Amino acid sequence: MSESADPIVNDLNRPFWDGAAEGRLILPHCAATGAAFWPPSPISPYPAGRAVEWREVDPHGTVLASVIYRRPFQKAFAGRLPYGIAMVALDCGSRLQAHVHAPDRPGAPRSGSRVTLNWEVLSEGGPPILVATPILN
Amino acid sequence: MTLSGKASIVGVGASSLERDPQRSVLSMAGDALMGALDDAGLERGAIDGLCVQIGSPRGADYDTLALTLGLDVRYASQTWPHGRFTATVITHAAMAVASGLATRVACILAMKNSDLGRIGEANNPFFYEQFRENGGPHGEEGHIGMASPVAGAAMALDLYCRTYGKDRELLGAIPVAFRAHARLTPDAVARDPMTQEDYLACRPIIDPIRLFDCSLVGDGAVCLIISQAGLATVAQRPVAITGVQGVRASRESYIFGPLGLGVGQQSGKRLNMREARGHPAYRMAGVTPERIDVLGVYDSLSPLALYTFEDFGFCGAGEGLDWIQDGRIGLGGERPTNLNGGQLSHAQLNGWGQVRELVTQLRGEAGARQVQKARTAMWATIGGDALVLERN
Repeated sequence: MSESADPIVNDLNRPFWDGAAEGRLILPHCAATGAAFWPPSPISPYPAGRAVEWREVDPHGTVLASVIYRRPFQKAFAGRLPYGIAMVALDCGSRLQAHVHAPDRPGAPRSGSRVTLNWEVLSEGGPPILVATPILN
Repeated sequence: MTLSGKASIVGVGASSLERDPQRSVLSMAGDALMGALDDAGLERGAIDGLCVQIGSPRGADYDTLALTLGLDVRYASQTWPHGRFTATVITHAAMAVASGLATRVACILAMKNSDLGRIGEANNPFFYEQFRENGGPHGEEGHIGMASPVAGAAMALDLYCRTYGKDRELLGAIPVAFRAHARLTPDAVARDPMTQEDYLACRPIIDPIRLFDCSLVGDGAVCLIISQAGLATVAQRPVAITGVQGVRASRESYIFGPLGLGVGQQSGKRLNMREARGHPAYRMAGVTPERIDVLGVYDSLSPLALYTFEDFGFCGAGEGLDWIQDGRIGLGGERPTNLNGGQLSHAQLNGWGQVRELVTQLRGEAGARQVQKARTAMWATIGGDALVLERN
């Protein structure tokens, strides 16, 4: 059994991954209300809306919660222990989960931290993934 | 028209619960079915419906079960290979007998995990769920390293503790209470003593979830026989199904968090006490939380029990970690819960072990862990699904 950690890319989410390849964060928006949403849908999840358009958003946000992996569940990430995942409320209103490097270090993103979501390729040939990095004041 | 009182549980059976890769899941299902039939004083020919919770490869599909175990049914249904649908499966059976689609339905949970890895690991058939389109069933996102159902539960627990400013160590009251119950349950898998100190000392899995917050992944089967209420006999010690509600789904629902608080796009708006006490299962049964003598809750991970107490109005949103202290959920306490030890200490049977225990309690057959004068019991989960059961 393959242990690839590649995401499924298809017609519904391709703008997100095309943006990733360019280092841009592109999310679906409700055309009627202008609100960003996640995950991708062919129809706006907001009752007043229907049509969907994709637009770039500001990759800044605030960490709402985070976890730290103390044991491996995937070969692709086993060498990165301990690593974290942060749930980030983007300033545009949507929430995304992102990888966190070395979560035990002082200043690592945790609940309440202001962060930027950056695209990083962690392994050669692998997909770009979102990594939450603290915004330094 | 109401479903309340139209169906009764007339038989319960279970396999033994040891982990044994050499034992067929069909052997376990057969033991559970025959145990339930013997309990009900019925032969197989009396069964004309079959509702199955878990299919292959973790369990066995309805067609295999029928042909292997010698059932001949005219109504069959089956849900997916995870938990979550316990009350829904039983509700399907109750609807079938209430509407005349069947007279007696065998509901079977048969599951074997000992030859699989943990969910999220590559030797498990559900490895690819972490890459499910638009997120795994527990919030997994395998490409960023977020694998295993434990991760979503950890994220939701961190969010809960940050939201309410609570000390996560207080959560230890749940696994400690359920372990004490398991020590009174002869077939419980985990019966070693557990103290809060043991809980604090156990190893982390994914912070803030620890080993003792996670259920025991094992093997086993449970069968419940749901009968048209009018066919039940005194000898069957029937338990009436007086309130039911299936699992909910929406953007506000996250399966490992309270309604409104999860790892997706939930708004943060929680049920208030009036809404929680107005849960449809209470209304169908005509009861309030105070009437529940014995409670069974879904506890594949210990925070799920915490949130369930809040979403069903036993305490207010954000109050659960304080509310569960001082023996409140233990035998002899105000709200005795998971008296067989639950998924955390009895066995990981997707909650079917707890429903079986509720029947045992209402029949007054629970021995050393019997809740005195138990007349009304409830199965409640963080997915919003529920059963109210009453002794006839």
